[in-house]
Amino acid sequence: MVNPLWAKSPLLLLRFPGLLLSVLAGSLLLALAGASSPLFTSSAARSALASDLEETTVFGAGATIGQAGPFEGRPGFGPNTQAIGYQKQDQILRQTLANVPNLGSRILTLLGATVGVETTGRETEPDQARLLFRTGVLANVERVRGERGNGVWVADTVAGRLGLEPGDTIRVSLPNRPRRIEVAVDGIYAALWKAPETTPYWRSLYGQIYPRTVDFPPPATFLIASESLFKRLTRGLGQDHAQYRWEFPVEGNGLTMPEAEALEQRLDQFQTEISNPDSKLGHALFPQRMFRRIAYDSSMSTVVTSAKQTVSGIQAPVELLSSAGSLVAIAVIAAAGAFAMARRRVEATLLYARGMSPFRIGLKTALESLLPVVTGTALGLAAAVALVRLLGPGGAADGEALREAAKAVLLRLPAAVFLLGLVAAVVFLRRSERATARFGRLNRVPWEIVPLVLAAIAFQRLSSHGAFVREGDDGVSQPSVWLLLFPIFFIAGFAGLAARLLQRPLNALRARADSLPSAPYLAVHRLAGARRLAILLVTACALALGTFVYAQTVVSSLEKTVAAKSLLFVGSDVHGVINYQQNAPRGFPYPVTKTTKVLRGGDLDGQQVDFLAIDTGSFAAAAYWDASWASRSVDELMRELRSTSGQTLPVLVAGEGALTTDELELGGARIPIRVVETTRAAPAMALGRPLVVADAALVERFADRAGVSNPLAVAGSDTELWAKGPTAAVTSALAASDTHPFPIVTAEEVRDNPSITAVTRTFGFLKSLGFGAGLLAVVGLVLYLQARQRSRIVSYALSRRMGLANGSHRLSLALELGTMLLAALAIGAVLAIAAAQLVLGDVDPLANIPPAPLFRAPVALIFAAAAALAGIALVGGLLANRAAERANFAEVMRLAD
Amino acid sequence: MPTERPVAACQALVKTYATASEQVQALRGVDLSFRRGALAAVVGASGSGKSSLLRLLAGLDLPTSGKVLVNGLSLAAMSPRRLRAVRSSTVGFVFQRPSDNFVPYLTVDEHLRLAARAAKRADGPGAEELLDALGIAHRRDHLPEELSGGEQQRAAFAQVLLAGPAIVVADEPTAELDSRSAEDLLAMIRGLSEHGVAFVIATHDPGVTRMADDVVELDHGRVKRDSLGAQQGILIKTPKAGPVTPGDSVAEVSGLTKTYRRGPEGVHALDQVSLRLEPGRMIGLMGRSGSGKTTLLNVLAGWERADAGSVVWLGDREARLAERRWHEIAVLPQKFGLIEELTVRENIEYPARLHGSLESVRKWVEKLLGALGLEELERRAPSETSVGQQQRTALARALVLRPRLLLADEPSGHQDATWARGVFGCLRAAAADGTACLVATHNEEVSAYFDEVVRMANGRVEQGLEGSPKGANVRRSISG
Repeated sequence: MVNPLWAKSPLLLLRFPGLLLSVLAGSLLLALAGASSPLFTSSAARSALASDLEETTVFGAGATIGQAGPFEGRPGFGPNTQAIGYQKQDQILRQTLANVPNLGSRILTLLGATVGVETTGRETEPDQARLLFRTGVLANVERVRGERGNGVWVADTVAGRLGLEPGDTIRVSLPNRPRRIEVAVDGIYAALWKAPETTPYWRSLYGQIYPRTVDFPPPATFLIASESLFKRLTRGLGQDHAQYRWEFPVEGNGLTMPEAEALEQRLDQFQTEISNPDSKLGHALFPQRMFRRIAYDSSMSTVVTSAKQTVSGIQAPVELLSSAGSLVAIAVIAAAGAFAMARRRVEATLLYARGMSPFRIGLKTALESLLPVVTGTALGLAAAVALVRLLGPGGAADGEALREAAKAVLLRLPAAVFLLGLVAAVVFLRRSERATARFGRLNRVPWEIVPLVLAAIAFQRLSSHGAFVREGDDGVSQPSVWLLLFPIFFIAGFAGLAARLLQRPLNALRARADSLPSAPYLAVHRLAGARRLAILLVTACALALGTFVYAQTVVSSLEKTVAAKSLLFVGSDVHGVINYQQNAPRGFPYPVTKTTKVLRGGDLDGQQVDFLAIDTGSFAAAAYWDASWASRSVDELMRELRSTSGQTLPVLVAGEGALTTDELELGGARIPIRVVETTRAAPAMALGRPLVVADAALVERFADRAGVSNPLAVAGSDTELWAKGPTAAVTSALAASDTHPFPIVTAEEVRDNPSITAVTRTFGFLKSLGFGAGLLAVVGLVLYLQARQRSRIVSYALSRRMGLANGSHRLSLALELGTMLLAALAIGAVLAIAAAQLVLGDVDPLANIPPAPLFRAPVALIFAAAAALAGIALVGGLLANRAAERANFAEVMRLAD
Repeated sequence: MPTERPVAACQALVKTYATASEQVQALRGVDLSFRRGALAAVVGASGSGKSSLLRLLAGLDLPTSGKVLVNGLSLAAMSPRRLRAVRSSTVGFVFQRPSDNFVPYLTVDEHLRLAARAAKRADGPGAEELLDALGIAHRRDHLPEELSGGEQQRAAFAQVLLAGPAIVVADEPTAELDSRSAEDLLAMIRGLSEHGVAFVIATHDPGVTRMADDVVELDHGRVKRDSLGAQQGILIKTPKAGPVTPGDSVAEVSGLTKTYRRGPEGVHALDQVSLRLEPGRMIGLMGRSGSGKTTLLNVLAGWERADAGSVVWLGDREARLAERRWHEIAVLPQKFGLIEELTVRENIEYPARLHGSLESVRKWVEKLLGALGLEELERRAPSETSVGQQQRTALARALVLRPRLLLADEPSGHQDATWARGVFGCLRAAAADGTACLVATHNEEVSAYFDEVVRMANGRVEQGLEGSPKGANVRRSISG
């Protein structure tokens, strides 16, 4: 005889939609948390690879083989020493690397000698250019004028000097060689060194394009020819060899880590083979070991290593947050288990009275939950895949990550079922006074003590070990686990206490609620008499919303801090290094100013200081300045720095307190100074060392008067152009300017720091987790309210007959829900901001750059959340009221008929 | 036949509950023994400790001190496994609310199969026999929600008895039954007790106490009388009939018909019912479970629409449901619908608060609290009071606005004899004040309180009119 209780169990939850939903939600969240770690890590790896590939370029990461040698094969110096020509080598290399996944078609470069170039028709000074053939070259230069033909392309700089136009003929020659060859000019292109070093295609030839430093002129520009013309010209000049370069760039959009690792392995293998003359490939390329001066280069290993380091920087926090997500899911599942008993209280009481054991109740609950858990788990995995595809830093995860995610999810499935059964059994056991008495003392201890003790431990760890305790080999600092755990414990503990304490004012309010209208009267009484479940839900809401606010506070504070630090470090949005003798370019499309900084260049009050000479006329418009640094406006300060009686040099001192001296020792001279203002900070200042700022022209004048050489034009001084505006545009404009600043540094580059990325990504994840948990808690509260209203149909029906208006009831529910949600938000937000302020001093991934971490509370976000919650309260009240209105009152009242 | 051998006993039994506001001593040193094959009735006022005693006997709760012995063994000393075995097959517990005795998704037959699995005795009656004896064999394949309250109660007994317990503990099993159903149930209990099963029944029903071998009266957690033998019926003073004020009716019901489906069958809940409710008159609506009493009350309360017929409210034939002055109609249903977050006093004041007349009823609330014995409980939450006290709170709430019409469903169902008198005294007072009262009940003992009695069966008014015992103020006011 089949036990009907068990026989009906597998599909039973279909009769209890609320319960079914909570089990589904819990298992979905558990699967989501479990799967998100490998999937997110994979997506992050893809993003890191893309970022590193962009930096290294697909050419740099791919394979580059370089060799110098003759065009054709030739016999060696002894018997059986035949060498093969570059075209045969080209064929072998293409065949060898043709089928390597994610490796593109080869780019062949023939680099010839630097030749003299002169016009044929008129007398001009000869210029120089370097013969070049490269696959697809004309598609990768800025063609100024001209058409494809059988001739060469010359750079506009050469064309300008020689007065060349397309169709002209030039004569090329090797230095100290009598041979001259004439060749037609097909076109003119823009000299490559004028453009910034941002074109991947030219990466391997940067050394032949750009000057070594600003003090050197650019190398000779290329004289671009077709492969056949290149050979004809070279041979015409009496040579039959060139430098060859075979480049196989990385291909494929969004390379995954397994793909990158496979490629790295294949290229390593290729390198080993190509370097070994006894290998098949080595032998084919160099049959008689002749001309083996081969160069091989690939940054794929660096790219993979760097991406792995980036990933390892976020992996620990991601796993931690995945565990935190799992904990939240476990809490939801545990609540579902408890809810299973509460929702079916009558059944549980009856089965208890009929002698059913907690073990069998647990088993029955597990059986009931099996199908919903399987469904929820599948949905969770699908949601994780979709979310990572949609929101992951690098898009979809790879197949291996998917397998790992599936494995993690499959392991969690039985755990969820077991947990549901366990909680149901424990809750069922509480019906027994004997069991309750056993745990009675434990029940009296407030649970908040546990998270508060853990919060204290976390805070102590943060204080003693810092917020970034793990420094990888690459210097990527990672947020400490405690930085994430601290707010969770802190908010959970205090939110629980606050929710309890809220009962007191509510009770006081209840005592004075007599005069209130019906809706607030009912809301106040319901809130004051809130049961444990409601308090728990408010605490859960506060924790989730608090976690969300905490993460947002840390991220926005960090963004503010990093923005300030990067701008302060660079001086403005972009800076470029120039010679002291150079001036700011005229007609520059963005605000630009020239500065010269002398590190430890001065002595003030017996203390070494940095010295910054500025152009006070253009500084205010072009430099980064925070109004909070000084008591006066920057324009006013600049005016002060310009005005002098001739006796004292007006200076501005940043990062120093009161001064006891009125002299600055600069370049060996003691210069009387007048401190215009002491500011908290100034652009370009270093941590822990004051910066003295003065007008450059006045400094030169005072130095001259003191009889010393210009202290700004000394070795060790850095002259920079600071420009303000959109980074890309300003960078291009600076690079194209006559001053040719080099290098060019942007504030964005400073901000693009793996440590900062690790922190923002980690907290972004925490924010998502908080948001998800908050959503779940809010939905839980709304469902709780609905379920409660359904169980109170009789009192509602009677109240309606007694004169309670539908609107009043709706309003009372909205007020109740709104108060709970807003209280949760207020508690969560206050605690989150307090927690963030406690730890923010330690959250400084650029600790060596001033200023100290800045704080920014996400006020707008909190108000937006409050507005959203108020809306949810209105809708929730409406739904709960509708649930009550839809009940069949007659059916409910028909107890004995 | 009862034997002197006790099947269960209590020794110095004390039970204290901690509520949010205070410690409630439910039992204060109870010594009792229950004989094998005997029917013991536990009586006493609401809150006297009856339910607590029953839960302790069934092994559902633990005594604060003292002992409960079943078959000579202390329940407190038993292992959890042994205690579960006792609950499963030695002690059968029947909950007060009939629906609480069922797993909602199992049919009656499935419940009986479950009970049969736990059965240890082979000599007891079989499922068929029990269902036949209880008159619910035709309900075998129905879900509990498809059964009436009376049928649920009988099916609950069937499943408990099928497990072959030595002792059956039941909390007011006849409270929801009509007199004929109650008689059938008691006859069956009597028969089974002769087979050696001991019954301990908490009750306010004089029918049960009359049949009981032993009667235990609890008063504030102490035994007042023990084993007194069968008690004579509780005497209820015949009240003065309320003044009759001929004139306009408060409501006039004519030709009401209502049919609904219960499982595969169509049930005629109301069949051409006509009735006139006049100010100052109290009409008793009597009949078995399922006779249509509650449906009629539901239609009058506006919670259910009749398929045919009309209800004319205060002479206004055109008045629609939504236009009725609902605050002038008070309802006291079997489910009290008290608001958990409000105290007893706040619940009573609630209609006046909604009506905006709270200040004007303060003194009246005091009087109601006093008349219904609720003064000491006024600050308690409803859940901290007994079911009987909750029912009196609901009655006070119904009366607080001095309604034109009071619809009451079994208003004394959870009251002992003394408070049953108190409840009907209040109802009579309301009638004397001009309220038209329609009171559904199956308690024949209280028929003396009514000005008129309407008997219903199968949705029809079976017997047109019975006069009050005095017969002086009877008027013909019903037909159909």
